Amino acid sequence: MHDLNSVNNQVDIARLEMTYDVVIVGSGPAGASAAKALIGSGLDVIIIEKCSLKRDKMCSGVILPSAREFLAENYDEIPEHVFTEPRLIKGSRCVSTNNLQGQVVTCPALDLGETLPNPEHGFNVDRAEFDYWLCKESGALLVDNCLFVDCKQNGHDISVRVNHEDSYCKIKTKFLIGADGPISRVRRSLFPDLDKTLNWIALYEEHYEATIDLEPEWQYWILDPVTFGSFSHKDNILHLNATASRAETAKKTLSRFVEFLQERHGLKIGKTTMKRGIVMNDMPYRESYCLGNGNILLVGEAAGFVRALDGITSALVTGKAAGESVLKSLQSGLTPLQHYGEHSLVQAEWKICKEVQPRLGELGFVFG
Amino acid sequence: MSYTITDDCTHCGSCADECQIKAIKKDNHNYTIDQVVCVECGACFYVCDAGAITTGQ
Repeated sequence: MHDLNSVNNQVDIARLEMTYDVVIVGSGPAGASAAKALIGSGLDVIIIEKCSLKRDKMCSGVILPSAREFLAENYDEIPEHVFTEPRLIKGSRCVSTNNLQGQVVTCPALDLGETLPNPEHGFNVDRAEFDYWLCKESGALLVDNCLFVDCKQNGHDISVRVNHEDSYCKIKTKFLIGADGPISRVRRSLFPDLDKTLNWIALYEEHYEATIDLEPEWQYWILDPVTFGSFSHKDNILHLNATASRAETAKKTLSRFVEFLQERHGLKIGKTTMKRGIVMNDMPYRESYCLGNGNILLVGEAAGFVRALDGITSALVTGKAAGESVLKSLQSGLTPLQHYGEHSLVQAEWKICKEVQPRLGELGFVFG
Repeated sequence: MSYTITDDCTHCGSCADECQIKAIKKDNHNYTIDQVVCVECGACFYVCDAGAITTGQ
């Protein structure tokens, strides 16, 4: 097991160019969970991350009941410094740009759609701290500023080419786990033409020092005739995001949502502290999951797993399944992919994702 | 944080390949980022070997 106490997660090229048993690409919940499942196996595991750690990510950062249950079963208690205020999110509420009275409606939770709002609905966390804590819990070597470029398979050996601190080098490994999100470079390395068949969706977010006439203890969804967005509070900063549609760009939609919230819900904006976005695809809606190939597995959003608007739970669950599948393959002689596809957690996740996606439409979410 | 392609660009096209929402366009020989379409996800920034993509507020 490697020392994870180094602050900057930097290693020299010589250490990076060693042979590892498992290379995990991406330091989010999916990669961290895969690494944790490999703890104690004696395997050398390395997580590579393209960003500088600790890296933040555009996300509501609400740990919903299903993810909380997974964490309670598999991890120690979440440390205090990971939480943001308000610490507990009571549930989801919706406002609509069509509703000129500014009505606020409570809606079911969006993970399994069956958890009613309650005082212990969700934990409000800082994604940079949360993801970093998950990785540290895994005990794997964690290297940042390390971009996965591509990989080549030669029999049972995989050569992973990375760019680390502006230098290219190769890492040899037996198993590779792509936990690198919707624009997965591992997936593209395996299936170069797949991305072109997907529909891509842009989301844009801004953070403000702001006040609004709505309770901060709720996560709010903005329903709109052509798209949707959301906002939430984190340590007195309002995070507001919007999803692009065919009708308009994400930035234009966000401007419209700002005007709506100013007019109907008393939004008053001071300083803007952050502007950023993410890109997602429609794999979850097509049910076109992509689990990998042989000794290379894809987990979380890289594989297409998202429970409606909750990616964290799917990431944790499928990451664990991938780690366990690698271990099983060492004993069985079968490939990890064979075990992964049949893993009870993956089978259950398929079922849940299929059940949850249509509920978004029923709740009034429009994908334009 | 907004992203801009500078004169250090080597015209390799990696950034345009990475941008799934087609915010990076090639005009004659030069690649530019459409700031209206771009959502500032940073995907292009990490794949630019030439360090030609800079960030601003």
